[in-house]
Amino acid sequence: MIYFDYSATTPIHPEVLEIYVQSEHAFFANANSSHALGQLSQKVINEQLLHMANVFNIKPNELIITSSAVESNNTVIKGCALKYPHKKHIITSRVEHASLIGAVAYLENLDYEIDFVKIDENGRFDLNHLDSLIREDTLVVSLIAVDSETGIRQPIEDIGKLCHKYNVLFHSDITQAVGKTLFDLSDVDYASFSGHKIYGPKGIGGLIKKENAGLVPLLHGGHSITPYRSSTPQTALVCALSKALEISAKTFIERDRYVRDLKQYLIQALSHLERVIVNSNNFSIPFIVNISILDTKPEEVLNYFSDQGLYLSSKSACSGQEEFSESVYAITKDNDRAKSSYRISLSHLSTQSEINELVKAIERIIHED
Amino acid sequence: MKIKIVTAVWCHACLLMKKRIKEFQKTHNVQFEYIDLDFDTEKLIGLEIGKVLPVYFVYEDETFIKRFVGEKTLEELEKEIRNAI
Repeated sequence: MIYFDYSATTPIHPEVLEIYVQSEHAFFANANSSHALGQLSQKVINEQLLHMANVFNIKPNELIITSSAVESNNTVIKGCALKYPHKKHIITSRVEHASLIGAVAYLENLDYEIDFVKIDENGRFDLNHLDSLIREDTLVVSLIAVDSETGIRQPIEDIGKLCHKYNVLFHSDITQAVGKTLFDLSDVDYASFSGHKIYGPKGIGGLIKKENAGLVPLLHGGHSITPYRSSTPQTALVCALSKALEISAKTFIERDRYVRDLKQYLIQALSHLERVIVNSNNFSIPFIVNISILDTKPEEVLNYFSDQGLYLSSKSACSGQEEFSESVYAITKDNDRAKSSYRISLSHLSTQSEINELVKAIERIIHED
Repeated sequence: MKIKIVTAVWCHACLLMKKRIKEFQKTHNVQFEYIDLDFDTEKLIGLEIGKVLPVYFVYEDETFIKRFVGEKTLEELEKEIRNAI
């Protein structure tokens, strides 16, 4: 098996899995219980919240544990709307995750007005356009930190400052950014992320909500870890998420350097192939390399790769045209490239020999065509 | 004239088209009936959906005239409908 779909999900890190299993045994008691065993779970959770808050440079009470980034995205969009009902305008983009668009579309059905910020020739959000879209009744600006298809790192720090100039709340989906790029959340009011993208378990995510940013919870039912999200605290998952974040923060420089070299190796190998064009640019994080294999159909090629035990992905969400990538079109202005794009997502677990196998498979595709 | 339009909440192009259609309806007497791909399963019976959203089914006096798909500019939408008549 050769896996190049680490942006879709990652295998759990052995240490993270170990912590999960140990914690599930040792701290199984309900952290909401007042007895000593429950309070032990509560203490462990509080320690881990502090640990994770330090990674993000936020306060522990600014981290809401959720089940996933999907839940975090839904919570922030709908929870903001409930908190500030007089504000009926939302600004987002065409490269957001489906869960963000889904939540926004839900509000559109309730007569909210939605605007999409333009993307410039570098694949980055056009801040002048964003500036022109902000209104007095803008509820929230929600823009992703890293484009999941092209890996383009968006200027969330500048976007946050722009939003705050107008006293508008800013949310960013940082799911593809955590562990893959450095970022500053000083001017970000809300941020969503998940555990399984950073070699943590599936079923846990986080929503960062700054103290001054309002929110009405979607799940009511009494104080849990936080009043903003009720449920029996998932102690073992919290411990596992905390460990995954710790490892991703501690190893960032090392992993980043390794993957940068690997990306160069990949790009060099691809440069010899006809009909293969690299779409990711200088703004892309090294962990995501988007390419086009001209005159190919992604669905067919991905099936062929899959049959060979080679796993990567393409544009999967609906975009108004079959297998058409909005992100790739934004930076290339080329329909053919946008219709034949593939995402190779790299990891510290990837190797040069795996890349050699991928390049050979692409060569076969080109020559068989 | 009536257009049945099949959309999904997770579809960027569908969300964008909703705003354009509201704009379009300010100058055109066309009724749009939204059908949700994930939830309105009974209404989807007999409709050819395919891989691209949104999908438009144009009807005149309850008679099906034309199907087209995808994100459209206001001009493209007008052209598609004009060609259907």
